[in-house]
Amino acid sequence: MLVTIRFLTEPFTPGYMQRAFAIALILSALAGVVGVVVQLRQLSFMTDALTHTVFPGVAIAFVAGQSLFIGALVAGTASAVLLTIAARSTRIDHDAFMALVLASLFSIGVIVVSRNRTYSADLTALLFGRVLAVNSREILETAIVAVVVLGILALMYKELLLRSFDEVGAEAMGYSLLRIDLVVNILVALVVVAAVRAVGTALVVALLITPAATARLVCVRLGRLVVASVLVAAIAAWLGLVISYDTSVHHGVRLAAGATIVVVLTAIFAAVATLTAVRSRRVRRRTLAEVTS
Amino acid sequence: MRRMWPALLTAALVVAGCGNDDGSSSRRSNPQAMMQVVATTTVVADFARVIGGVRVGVYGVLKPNVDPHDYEPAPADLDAMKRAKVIVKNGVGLERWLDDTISSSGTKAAIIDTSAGITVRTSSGNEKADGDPHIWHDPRNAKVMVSTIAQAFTAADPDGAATYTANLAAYTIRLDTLDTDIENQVATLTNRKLITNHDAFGYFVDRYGLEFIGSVIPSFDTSAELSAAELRRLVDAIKSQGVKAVFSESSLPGKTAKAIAREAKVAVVEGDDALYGDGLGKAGSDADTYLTMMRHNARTIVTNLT
Amino acid sequence: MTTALHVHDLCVTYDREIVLRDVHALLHPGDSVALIGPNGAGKSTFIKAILGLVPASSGYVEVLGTTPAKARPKVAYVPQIDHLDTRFPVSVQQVALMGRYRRIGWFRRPSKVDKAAALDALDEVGIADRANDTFGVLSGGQRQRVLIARAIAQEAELLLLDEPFNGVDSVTQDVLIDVLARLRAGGAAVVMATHDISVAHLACGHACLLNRRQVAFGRLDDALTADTLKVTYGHHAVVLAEGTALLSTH
Repeated sequence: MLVTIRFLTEPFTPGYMQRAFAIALILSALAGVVGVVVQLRQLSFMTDALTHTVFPGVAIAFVAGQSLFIGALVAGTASAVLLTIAARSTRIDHDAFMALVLASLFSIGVIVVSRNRTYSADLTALLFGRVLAVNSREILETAIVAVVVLGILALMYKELLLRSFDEVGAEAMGYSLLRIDLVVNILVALVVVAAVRAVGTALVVALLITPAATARLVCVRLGRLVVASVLVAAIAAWLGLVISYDTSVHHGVRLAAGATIVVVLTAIFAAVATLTAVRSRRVRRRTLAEVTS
Repeated sequence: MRRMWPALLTAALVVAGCGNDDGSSSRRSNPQAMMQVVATTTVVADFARVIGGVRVGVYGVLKPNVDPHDYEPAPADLDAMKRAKVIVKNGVGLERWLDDTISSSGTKAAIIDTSAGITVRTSSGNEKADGDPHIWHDPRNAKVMVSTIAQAFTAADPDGAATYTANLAAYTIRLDTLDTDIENQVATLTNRKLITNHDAFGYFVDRYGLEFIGSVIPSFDTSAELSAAELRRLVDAIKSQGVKAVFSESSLPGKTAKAIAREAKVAVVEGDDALYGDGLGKAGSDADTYLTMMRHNARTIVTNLT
Repeated sequence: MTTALHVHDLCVTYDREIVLRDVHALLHPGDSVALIGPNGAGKSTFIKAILGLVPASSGYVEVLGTTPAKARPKVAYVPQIDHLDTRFPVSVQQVALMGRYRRIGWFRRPSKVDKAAALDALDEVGIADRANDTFGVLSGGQRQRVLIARAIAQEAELLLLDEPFNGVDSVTQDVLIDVLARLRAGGAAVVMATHDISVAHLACGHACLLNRRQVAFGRLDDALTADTLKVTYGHHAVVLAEGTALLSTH
């Protein structure tokens, strides 16, 4: 018992682990909630697209010697606006346009990087994330993003609920879908940008999609869905950090922290999916037995 | 009092015995007694092990054959940095990806830049760049690097000064031998035109009088890509200047190198024979130390250009 | 007295193709009209034009004395139930409460008054006991009633219903007819797309027959005749007696 407790708490004695845990918790709360929005608004593909479109912004900011965070922010917001407008237009094939924007922006990033003859590892930090290397200022920035995003979501909760549930109904009531979508998509872009630094573009998608998908397997009420999604994200962040610390410090198996969090997330999803599948099969069999008897 | 003597004597013998035994068992059994050192790249880790010998426990951050671009810190890395007394870096901007991680670990270690005192090649074109970080490909630079490391170790652990000085002296001789050997090998070549996967061999080319025609990846940075025009120019250069082979590198994908070689109808050197541009090979390979790695590269180049 | 709906020579085009033309209509408060026609006849397009969601390429639509876009807060739209995701995590009460959103306004939380209005509306369609259930677990008819409750909570002056009787049970059918009559008595006008002519007889005073153009508009008995049905449905209509017809839905 004591050993277990030490296994779960000891990793958080070094300062870098505390900071990693702090940013992982903030991101869990943020991604857990926004992930539910992404689920209900069916924005998974756009979220994925945003992680790619952030890249050229980062690349250009790097070459221009500007802050990578600002570069990611500008690129993320701009592409969120572009994708939203395209989605509302009836003249454009939505999926094709999205794929086009994604591919072309990503290529711009690659072109910029390959024209750049300096060592660009700073840039790769944004692709893979350095959750163990975050400093207090970055934690503060992420916390501010979290407060802003969650605050705006709370303020437009009603409208967002209506727009997600009944698109035509919302429009018929006189709501501008474009305006609502713009705000939501920019919020998602903000989360992507904030999370990119800690877990990297490659893993942001997992953090935004897996907790909400897991929660959806067990919860039907919106309130519980949000709580469950945040809990799943937070537990995975904590366990991921603990496992990565323990295996790499005590057992010599090198596990990168960010990637371990994602593996844990996926494992939780798989476990919950299996359990619910087994349970529903059992229920079905019982109902069948009742019907036949 | 008298009766305590045997006990004290035994204790003294045990301590002395440990001292003699250091080389084999205490490395594992008593790591606390060793000075903890973190080395960023495989090359400086090898240098640190050679100079530190039995007095130093070296933790290498980058593993063999790993592109630093794919690096994500593990808690063990930060743990090692935190406990380290000395952190050895290659320098010339090669570890910029690691700076945040080092400062995040909260380490109080002395951070040693082994490129101090070395004349750094300027990189082609870009003024803002730090210069070419692959300094170790010239054994004369390696001598400067190990001497810097020996000084740092002596400062951090004065008791070991004798060990560090002796190890440095012995290794410097081996580096001199290596340098003359490669010089003699390359001297046999009539065709000295070199094409590699990326710009890692500038110091090697300068030191041994090779002629650098171009590289598949046009930058020190391994994530850059070649444009179509540059590709054609490279193929034309290979054809017109009679280049014999294109050399691939162990830590990089050799696809483009292969394509260019096919286009220009010359051999491509890859697989086990690939050059080691960014670091050492895996343990057990014929390039798992600095000395074997340099000999591998020289042998490969000479064999394929003869 | 202002008119609830005034349509004059409306023509709607999608991609230069005319999908609906020659539409004229005049409704007063308390009136109700059944939009009758086969699939693809332009019923949904007409409703969207009344909402101002598709532009009129010629003619005009006037809703509650103003433009469709400006009238929207006072217009309630009831979508077809199978257009809504039954897996969506929203409760019956939350759906009814949506009718109050415009009244509540941006960034504000629903007040007690709003919640009471939503519950009253659910009570009116006989489904208040399911207020805390998830919308998706209800039967089709029950979900239709919740959507009607949302329109009631909105206190709209014009209701637009898209096939409200499609696939609902007889209890719901009776409740709907009853509720619509009460709303009309309270001064609301109703526009209802349907292809069930018997329902049109039960719930509406006016009929509007459409098949990519307006075939007829007027009081139900005047507009809904054997001739107009034949024109509207072509050879698919078999007219049985005065005003009733058997429609083969191919």
